[in-house]
Amino acid sequence: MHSLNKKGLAEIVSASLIILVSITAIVLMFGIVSNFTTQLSPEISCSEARINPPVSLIKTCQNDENKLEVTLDRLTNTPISNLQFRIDSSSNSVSYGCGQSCGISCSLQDPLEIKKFYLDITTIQNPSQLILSVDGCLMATEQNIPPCN
Amino acid sequence: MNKRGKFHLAILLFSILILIIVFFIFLATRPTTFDSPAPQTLENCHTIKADNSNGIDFVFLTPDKKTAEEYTDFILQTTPYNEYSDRLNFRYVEAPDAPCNVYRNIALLCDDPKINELAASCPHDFIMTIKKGQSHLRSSALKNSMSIVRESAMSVVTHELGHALVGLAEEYTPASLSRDQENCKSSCDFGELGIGCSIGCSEADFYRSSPNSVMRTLSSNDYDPYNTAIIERYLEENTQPISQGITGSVISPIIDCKNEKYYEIIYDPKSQQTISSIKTGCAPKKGGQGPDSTILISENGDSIYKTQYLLTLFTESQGEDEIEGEIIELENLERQIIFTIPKISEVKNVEISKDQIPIIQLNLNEVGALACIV
Repeated sequence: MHSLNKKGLAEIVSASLIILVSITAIVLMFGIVSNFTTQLSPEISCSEARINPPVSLIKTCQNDENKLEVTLDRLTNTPISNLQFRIDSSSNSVSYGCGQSCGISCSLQDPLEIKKFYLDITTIQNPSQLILSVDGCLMATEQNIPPCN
Repeated sequence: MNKRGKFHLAILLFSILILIIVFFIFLATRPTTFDSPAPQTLENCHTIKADNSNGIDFVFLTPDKKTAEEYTDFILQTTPYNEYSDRLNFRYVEAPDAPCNVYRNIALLCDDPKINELAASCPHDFIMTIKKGQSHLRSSALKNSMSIVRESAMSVVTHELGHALVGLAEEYTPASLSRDQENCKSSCDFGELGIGCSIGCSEADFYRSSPNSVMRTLSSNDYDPYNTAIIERYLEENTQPISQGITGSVISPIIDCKNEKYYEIIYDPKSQQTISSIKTGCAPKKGGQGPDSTILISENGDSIYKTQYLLTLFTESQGEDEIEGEIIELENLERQIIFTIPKISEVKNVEISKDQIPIIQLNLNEVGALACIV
């Protein structure tokens, strides 16, 4: 009777341990998968951003200090991590960033604010177009950049 | 162990193995944090007295309320501040762990971005950081920031205010004669305000207006008449008496620093490089008196306003008879210096000069808006 009880108890303990280990494994796996899918998906959906754009390109011009001035209006409260600017010329193209990728030197404006961003283009001769993306989603393209008045 | 027991043991060991593998995968795939600045939060700003919107704003960064009140009372009992008490505003931020530095192992120097962030919680023109447990160090003054050793004689505050407000030179010897000072002269030319012209004022062959003012020894708390007149002139020119409404009630300034923004410019005198950013909070709107300045320039090139000060570090503690100290000019300062400038919409450029020669020229529109190459 005594040995039977011991055997029964051991089985209960091992079964409980198996259940506990399985639940922990499931929880950890769920954490990994959900984190992975979050990393894969952009902060904003590009199709949604096209319908309801979070920013609008108001003006682009080249100033006499060899900088492009890009004025953006943040139209919605949609969270944004990064702005990406690509300047193309006949000889090369250079990509710029603003937001989390850039630290304190370039920060995004608050929602519903207008802000002018500056892009140093001393290494680019005759920029032909500016491509603006928000968190990897193409927002606007501007060709024939005029001088600032 | 029977077959069933072995089977259970195998499952258990297998599950533990899976759990260990999953745990290591979890550790390996944890997202790395972005290298972005932490969101800035302002501290609680406590008012001791602040009823004149045209006055000078002082903020104490102190371990507690009692210390801030003690220093406020001390300043307001000191001539000439006692005569202008209605033009001086005092606030404090509780900062028992104010991040001060030790300069060359001799002086307390609280001029760190975090100090400016703490001060930004209150409207302020001058910052006084009071630090406990640093009795082996000298107190100091640099620009609008005073670093006070709590264990020093209270009169060290009076002394540092003399430097920060009107650029008074040291009256002990030997010391470097500070730039654009008015209290040390090559002759006994102090008029009626001289009360015992004495030789030795920073340099051995310069004269001071009185034998033992607070600019010479901390055993005194008097500027003496000549230096007092310099401070009175500064207070007259930079403040106004309390303005009153038609009903006679006092109009109190209500400034919420949470709604204010300022530019922080960190300048390294050695490399002459600057790092600038926009932060939330209040920044000084009035300066002291001195040959160095910050000038804010509008879009069309007009100077909107000018703040003056002295880009010189003064360090001092009481010696046997008189103060012992050292004066270090900006170019010899072996550390960065921080400028904070209120964000004003019509301002385009800032020019920071030493002896009227620009050392920093910045397009403020580009601060926090210059995209980086990725």
